[in-house]
Amino acid sequence: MGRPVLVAFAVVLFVTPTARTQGNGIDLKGLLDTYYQGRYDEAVAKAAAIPDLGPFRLRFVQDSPVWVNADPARSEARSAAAAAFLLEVTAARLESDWGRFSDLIEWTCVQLRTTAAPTEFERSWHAASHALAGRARAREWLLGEFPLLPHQKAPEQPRTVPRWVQRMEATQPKPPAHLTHALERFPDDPHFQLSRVVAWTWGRDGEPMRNVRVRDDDDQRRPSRAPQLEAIVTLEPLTAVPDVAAEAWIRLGMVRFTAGDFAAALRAFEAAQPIATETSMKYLAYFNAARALERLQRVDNAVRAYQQALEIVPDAESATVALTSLQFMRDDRDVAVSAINRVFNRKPGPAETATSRGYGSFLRWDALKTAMRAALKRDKS
Amino acid sequence: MTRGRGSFLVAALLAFAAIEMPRLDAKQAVFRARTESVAISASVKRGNAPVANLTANDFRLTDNGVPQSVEAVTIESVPLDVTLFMDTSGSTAGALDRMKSNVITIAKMLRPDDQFRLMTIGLSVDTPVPWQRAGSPISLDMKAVPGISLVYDALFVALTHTPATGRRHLIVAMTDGEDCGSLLDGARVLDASGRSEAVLHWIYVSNQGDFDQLSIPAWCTPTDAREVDFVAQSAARTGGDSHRSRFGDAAVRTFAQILDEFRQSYVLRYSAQGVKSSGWHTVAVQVPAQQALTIKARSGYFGAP
Repeated sequence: MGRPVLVAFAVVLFVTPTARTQGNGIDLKGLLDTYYQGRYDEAVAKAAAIPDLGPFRLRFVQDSPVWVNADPARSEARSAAAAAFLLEVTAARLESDWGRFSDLIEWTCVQLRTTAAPTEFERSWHAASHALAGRARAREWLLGEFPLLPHQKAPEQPRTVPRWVQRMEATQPKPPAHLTHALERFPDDPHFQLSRVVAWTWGRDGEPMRNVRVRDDDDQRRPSRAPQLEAIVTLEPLTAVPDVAAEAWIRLGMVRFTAGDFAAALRAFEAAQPIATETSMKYLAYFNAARALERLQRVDNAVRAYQQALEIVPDAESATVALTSLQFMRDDRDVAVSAINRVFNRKPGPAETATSRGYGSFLRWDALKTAMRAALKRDKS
Repeated sequence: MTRGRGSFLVAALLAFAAIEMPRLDAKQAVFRARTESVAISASVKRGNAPVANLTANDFRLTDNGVPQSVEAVTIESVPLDVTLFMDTSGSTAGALDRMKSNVITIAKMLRPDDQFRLMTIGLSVDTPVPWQRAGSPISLDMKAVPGISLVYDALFVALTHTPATGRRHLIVAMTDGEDCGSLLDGARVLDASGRSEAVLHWIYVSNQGDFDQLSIPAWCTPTDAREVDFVAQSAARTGGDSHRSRFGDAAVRTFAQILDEFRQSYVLRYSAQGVKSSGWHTVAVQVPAQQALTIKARSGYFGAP
């Protein structure tokens, strides 16, 4: 029995006991019809409002294949619509329910990969799914338990593991390594290559973790962060690929920053500044440069770089906090207080770019969702 | 550390005027902390009971070790700007329903001439209830955002608020104090607390509800709170204190105690004499003639460069 079949079987087993008797109240086919007709927000809002996701999960596994095959001539487009619908509902419930959707996403991935040739919709769907997994920092879900970067070699000697441990491990569900499926289907896609190395750094970096103690709980000096520096080997070639060069420079700078090499970090952020075209990347290039300049004690330059970041995204909260904290310390308080009052005395806005920077491509979720919808429309027509 | 705008009478008149026009906007917010005159908040208690009716002569105040002549002692009945900061990150989100209930109850404790705002945290520092006059209807949109906890950034934003002349700013932070993902570090918050007019009280609350394992996981391990407790130090520096409580009725009771104590506290105003203006000024407050008092006062301030 192949892994895809096992995944599907596991999903059905997992959802059935909790929802067997509760799923009848949800009109999943109706929601999919609504979404397929292009009323995306309406369908997603209705699904996201379902209080108990157990029945929804059951209906999705049982009804979506039936709905897809109800029109065999358009089954591929309908399969794409069901997959996109699932991602959008996941996004709507992401903070509270990531773990209730991640297995369904992988189950859907299995369905999409049954087509012989990868489609542009599949590419956009994968990119969107990686963004959501980024918010969850789901490294194992994306890459598996012991991921290796392309230049890294697997250990030559197999681990010597007692037989009973091997048996126990064999019974444990393995993470799906979702991103590797995208790389198998689109091996040359630089965005996926970048997503892989970014996800690889999670758990190895200090971003956006702050103030890590030099010594651990046992008063032992923490090990250096050399393992994270290996990401640079993968990131550097990507700085030469126009599609991802700006972000690769920024990610590279973040690795350098985390390792404490602020001068190298600054050079990387400055390299990103003239080539970044996306607003979020332009902002991050200046914002992160300002942070590096602060650490280099070049405060006047840091202030200027924060101001440049705020010219790109006026009233961005991250640059406002960082800049005003400098102004506050330098006793330039009237300016600082005025900016704080303007930016923070208002109801919550959308997610903030810089505080999202530790979540991979999640910071461009809106754009990825738009691209996915566009690909869906093209496939349908 | 507030610029003296005139006599106490003038301050009282301004305070009265503020009752009529409590709405604060950026134009009204004039920061007055860097000037030659200083105002130090101080609460004086015997046991758990605030000590009332103290006069200027009862206090001994030193600025960098130099005794100062306290010009006015005000028993504060002036209007308040109250910032309530609730930590809606994953570590406390299990108590979201009780938090919402607490906000409503706490807002009702304020006087009509007070102002109130609610700050929370998600992927950014949020202000679900911007500054509004106490008693106004509250429209609450609070949600938990796990995996990130911008405690330091939120405290910095709260500390920078400058009340209009004749008003005082009280910050009550309900959080476990564990920061994750802030742009600022704890040292920067501690620095800001020495430049702010606010009095910060920290009510330590931990997650009292069930954390949903299927939500976004918490991946960030904050560690500095165990080594340098920046939140507690910041509170102490402003003349506030640290408390422990639980969301629900207990937190409301703790807030009520803080509010009551704050309303009965003193402001000691003086023009610093015999000390250099710039740099950190350590301030010590005593009531020499009375024994067994607990005095919580701002521990110092940064002078103008």
